Amino acid sequence: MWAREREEREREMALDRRDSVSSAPWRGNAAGSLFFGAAEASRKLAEYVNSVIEALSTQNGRTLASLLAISSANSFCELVASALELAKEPIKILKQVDKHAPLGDMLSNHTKCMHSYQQRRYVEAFNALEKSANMFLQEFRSWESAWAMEALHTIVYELRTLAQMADREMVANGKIPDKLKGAGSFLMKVFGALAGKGPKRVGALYVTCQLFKVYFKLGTVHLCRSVIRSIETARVFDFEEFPARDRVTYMYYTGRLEVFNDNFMGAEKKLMYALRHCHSSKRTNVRMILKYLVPVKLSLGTLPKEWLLQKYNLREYLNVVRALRRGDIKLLRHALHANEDGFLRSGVYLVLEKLEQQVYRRLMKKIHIIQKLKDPARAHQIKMEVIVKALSWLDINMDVEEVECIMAILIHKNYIKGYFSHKSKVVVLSKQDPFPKLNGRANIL
Amino acid sequence: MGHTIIAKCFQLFHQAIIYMVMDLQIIKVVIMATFSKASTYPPASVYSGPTGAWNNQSYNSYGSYPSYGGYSAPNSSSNLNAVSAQSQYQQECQQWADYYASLEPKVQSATVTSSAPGTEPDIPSAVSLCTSTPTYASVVAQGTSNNFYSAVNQPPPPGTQPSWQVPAPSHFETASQHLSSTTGTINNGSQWDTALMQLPVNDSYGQSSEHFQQVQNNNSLQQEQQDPLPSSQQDTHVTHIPEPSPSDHQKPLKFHSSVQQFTSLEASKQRMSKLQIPTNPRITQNLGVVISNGPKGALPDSSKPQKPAYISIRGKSSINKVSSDDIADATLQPGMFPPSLRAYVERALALCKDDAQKAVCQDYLKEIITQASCDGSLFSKDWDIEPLYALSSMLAKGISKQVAASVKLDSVSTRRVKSRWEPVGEKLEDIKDSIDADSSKTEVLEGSKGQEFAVSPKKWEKQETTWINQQQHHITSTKPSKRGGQKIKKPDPGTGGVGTSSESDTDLDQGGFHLGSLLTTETPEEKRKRQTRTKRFERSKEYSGPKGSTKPKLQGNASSRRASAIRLVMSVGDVNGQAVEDINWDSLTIRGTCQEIEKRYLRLTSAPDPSTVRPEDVLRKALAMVQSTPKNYLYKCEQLKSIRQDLTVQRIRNEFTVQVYETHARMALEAGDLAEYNQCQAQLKGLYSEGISGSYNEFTAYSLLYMVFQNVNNRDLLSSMARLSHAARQDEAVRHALAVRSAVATGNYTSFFRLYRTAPKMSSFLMDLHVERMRFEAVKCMSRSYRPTLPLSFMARTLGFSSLSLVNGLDEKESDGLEDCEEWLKTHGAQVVYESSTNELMLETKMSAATLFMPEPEDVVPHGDANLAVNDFLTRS
Repeated sequence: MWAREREEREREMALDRRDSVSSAPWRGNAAGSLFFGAAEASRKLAEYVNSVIEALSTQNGRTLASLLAISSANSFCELVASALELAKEPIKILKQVDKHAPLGDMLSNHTKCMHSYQQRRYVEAFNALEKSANMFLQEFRSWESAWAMEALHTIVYELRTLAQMADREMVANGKIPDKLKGAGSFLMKVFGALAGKGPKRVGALYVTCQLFKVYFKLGTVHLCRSVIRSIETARVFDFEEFPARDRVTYMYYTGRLEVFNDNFMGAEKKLMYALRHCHSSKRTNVRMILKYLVPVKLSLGTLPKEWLLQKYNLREYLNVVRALRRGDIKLLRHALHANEDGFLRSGVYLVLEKLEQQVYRRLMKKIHIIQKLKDPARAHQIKMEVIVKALSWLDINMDVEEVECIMAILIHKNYIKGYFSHKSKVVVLSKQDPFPKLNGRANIL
Repeated sequence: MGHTIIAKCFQLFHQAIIYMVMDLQIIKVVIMATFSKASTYPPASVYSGPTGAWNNQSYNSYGSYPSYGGYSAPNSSSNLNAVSAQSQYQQECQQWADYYASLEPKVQSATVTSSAPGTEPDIPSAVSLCTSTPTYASVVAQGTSNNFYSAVNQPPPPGTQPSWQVPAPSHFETASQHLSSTTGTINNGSQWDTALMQLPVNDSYGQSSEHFQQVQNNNSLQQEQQDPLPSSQQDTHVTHIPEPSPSDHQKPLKFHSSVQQFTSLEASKQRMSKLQIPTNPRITQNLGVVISNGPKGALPDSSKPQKPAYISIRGKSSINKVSSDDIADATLQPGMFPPSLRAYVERALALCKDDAQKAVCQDYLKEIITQASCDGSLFSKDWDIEPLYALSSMLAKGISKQVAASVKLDSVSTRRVKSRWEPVGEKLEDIKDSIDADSSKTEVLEGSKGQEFAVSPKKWEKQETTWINQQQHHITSTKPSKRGGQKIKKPDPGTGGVGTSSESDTDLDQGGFHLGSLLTTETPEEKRKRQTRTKRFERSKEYSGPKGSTKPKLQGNASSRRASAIRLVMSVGDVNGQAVEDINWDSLTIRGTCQEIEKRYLRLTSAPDPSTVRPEDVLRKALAMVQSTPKNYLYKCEQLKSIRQDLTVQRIRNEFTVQVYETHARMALEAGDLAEYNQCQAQLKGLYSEGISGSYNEFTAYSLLYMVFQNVNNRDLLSSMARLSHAARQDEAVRHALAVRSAVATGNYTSFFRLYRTAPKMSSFLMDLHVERMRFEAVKCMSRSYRPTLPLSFMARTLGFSSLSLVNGLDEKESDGLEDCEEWLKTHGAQVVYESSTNELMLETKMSAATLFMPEPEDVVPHGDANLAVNDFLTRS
């Protein structure tokens, strides 16, 4: 069972950047010292700047990332914001960075962003961050090594999340939100800076995933294509060399895209990859993957164990799976109807809807088995009236013509092997393998 | 022949020269800009002689300039002149040049004295001042009165920029050539380029530096020039008539107006040629050509003299200004309000329907009055004719009512129509609009016009300048109109603080000009305002200066207008320091005045002309007419398109708009016009999302069906399904559409054709799109799953062949369906056999499975759209 394979997969640690941030020596004071005088504020700000300088000079990407983080729980955002308010000539202090790298303007924008963020003015924060990010990217381009990758990723992440917040703010103010779109085009720029050959390529997949998030949110998934092509066609960099967390995210999103394209085989491959490489402790991530993997597997004829659905709280699929097991059309329809909104939103509705034919097939199979028990010689001939009666027991009232049509479709789509005789109103099943395996068939027609 | 060749050579040569000249101009302009920055700069002292007013005047142009950002750049302006009327831009160009020239004592003195025989003898200092207006006036005096009325070849105004003289005639010539050759075609871009190029040159002689006035100048010129130039008519035809209106009674008027417009251009050209190089054989030849083309226009020409001086309506405001001169001091006593103002306020309040509107209105009036008292126009303004239109934009619902009201107050309405465009400096349109609008309203306005003419001269006589007397018509007509327009704009709440203040500045300027010319008063407040003005000017200069330099080449009637609109937008944003999205489009929206119910659809290539746009109440009649007309779809489609256009142009988005789009969508569906349907559907989507009610569910169903049948990707379909509300899902049409979608998704042909038979409303027309495909899939499916045969009667029933004659008796229905079904099967390669035992036709499934094919659609056309077939097109016209 594929569900068990998950257990055996290698347990790769998906690094969470923000959790494993090294703590700077003076981080401790950040929380308690919000109200201090101008002199102290200047000192704090200078300390912050000195940390940035140190991170720059020692090329410590992780520290730099933590210094630039905005929305994470233990960022310096609050400290910097309050210091910025009180300090005299904060710009002058910030400009000291220029001695080490021309990032003075970047830092002043970045701190401005922190300030606005702290005051919940997200549009302003985003605008400042966008400037800061552009300047940082420019500088990043000039650095030979990829030491600052983590910092860049932090900025990319913050830009995306801030853009979403800014958009929400704009909507609340009755404006047309466009910040996420702007973030998308900036991420594309970052991607361009990373996607080439060289040491920086390893960071490209992270940006790709962030781009996916932006595009899925904006509903412009078609924009994903160019990025995917660039990732998948490049021979210079093996996909396996990317960090696991990025690979999982990437496969999750590309798998979802395949679902939209009705390419269930491809979707299964990608989502299975994501599931295998996703750390089992990340239950929400596993659930997100399963949410798409289950319907895909269903349409390929693989049914999950119920405990799996229970474990990951995917109860909406329980009745669907049961209906498939029992050949219960009514139950399927009911399950689809009950969760219609959710299925429509996640985009699996159309996949699940097509399961109906599988349910009919299962019903036919059951009838066939029963007939075989009664009369093995004539079991392969199933009369229409029998089918209609079986359906009516399930509270599905269809006339002969409709059932005939469904049978014709089942035969046509190779769910059932055999033929239909209109004259005698009988489905004649093939004597060999009347119900062929579904694997890979679902996406034919 | 030879002539033409030579002419063409010259044409090229002169084009080159013109470009050079343009550059020169630009440079000058830049200098100008720098000059004008400092309000304390010499001009203040130098020009503030006895006629300090002239300062105001000169600044006036600057001050107003920024607010008309689109035209602000003299250089850029040059490319904009698509049509005769548009020449104003170049004029502006020249204006600067002239102004610049005038600032240089030597040149200027020469200019003024030599060019204008009657130049302000009594105002010696004015020579040095010689800002735009005087020069303009004198030149115009020459150009218009002398040339056109006496039709004498005058010597060119020698002083004015000699460099212009050569290029001008040549260009004129080329242009005229072009025009003559292209009669009947519409604005060929390149040709117009030349034409446009030439315009500035011509106009420079005849036009004032005041760019506002130039517009009107043209008009006034036109009016005065009608007779001499029969030749220009055909050209006019070509370029100007924006929409050949089928309606009989309007046509002549429009034609006139357009003719007029063009005439001015032609006139100026001719004038140029006569003036400058009378001996030039090329010119004479060209003239000949032009004239030969002309005869058509002779008729309208003759009628022109009687053309209403719509301009003169504006003259009213000038009169008012004059009065403002008299009571200039009145501003110092704000406590007094003229009775006319009181009446105005009452009128305004009367328009308000409820308290909320009243409150808005009151605030608004307060603003107007404060402004007026600030800039001293409180008493100078003629409140009787002051437009109430600004209120209308606020009282959105009272639109039609307002229109009616404005129509009653004839002059107000005309002004308002213009003002819509004027504030932005969209002079092209303005001219055109005003001409058309006015001409259409001729009768209404006649009285006031006459009045104007009678009064206006007096005003100018006050200035005691001989040359001005010649100019009376021009100035009265141009000035006031400009002023009127601005006044009108000012009350618009939408323009925002900055915009409004800029307007008031300009108003002030004008007032100042008038005041100054007589009283030489200059309050400190005015000085301050002037400073801000000049600063503004500076800014816009920076913005538009460099840009314009590259422009002159890309002109074309339509494109130039669009460009002007864009620039206008940009510059508006620039001037006011607003982002483009902050521009209040309400202030730019036009209100139609056309009363025709029937109107042909022409795709707009320029800003709309209010006189050809129908207001909502007329559009309602038009829709009713379309709904009841027995004519074919092509006619209805065109009428609906024109209705939609008028709605769009006036930015009417309400239930009626929805109704129009719904009507059109239904008709398009009925006629199978998917392209049109799709447009309507897209619009409806937006309209519904704005909360405007209509047959939402019905069209949701259609759009679902459309998506299903157009094989839209799953994601889009899903998202639109997810957006359906529960209420919508209960709707019959929506439920039907969802069922159809499901049937298509599973390939369930039985249920598809059952749904086809029971389709509500127009859904079956959409389903028609998919019937063919569905049938084919079904037969494919049948031929694969049924063995050995399948009776055709069953197929005919299942595949919806029999549905058509359901009403009739059973037998008939079956036989009908059978024949169709058999034919369909045969055309799709199915094998039909006759089964003798049952006396039935049967589908031989096994054989058919291999031979089925989808035939090419019969009505396929190379260009992909059967609706565009030549025959169709011919029958349409």
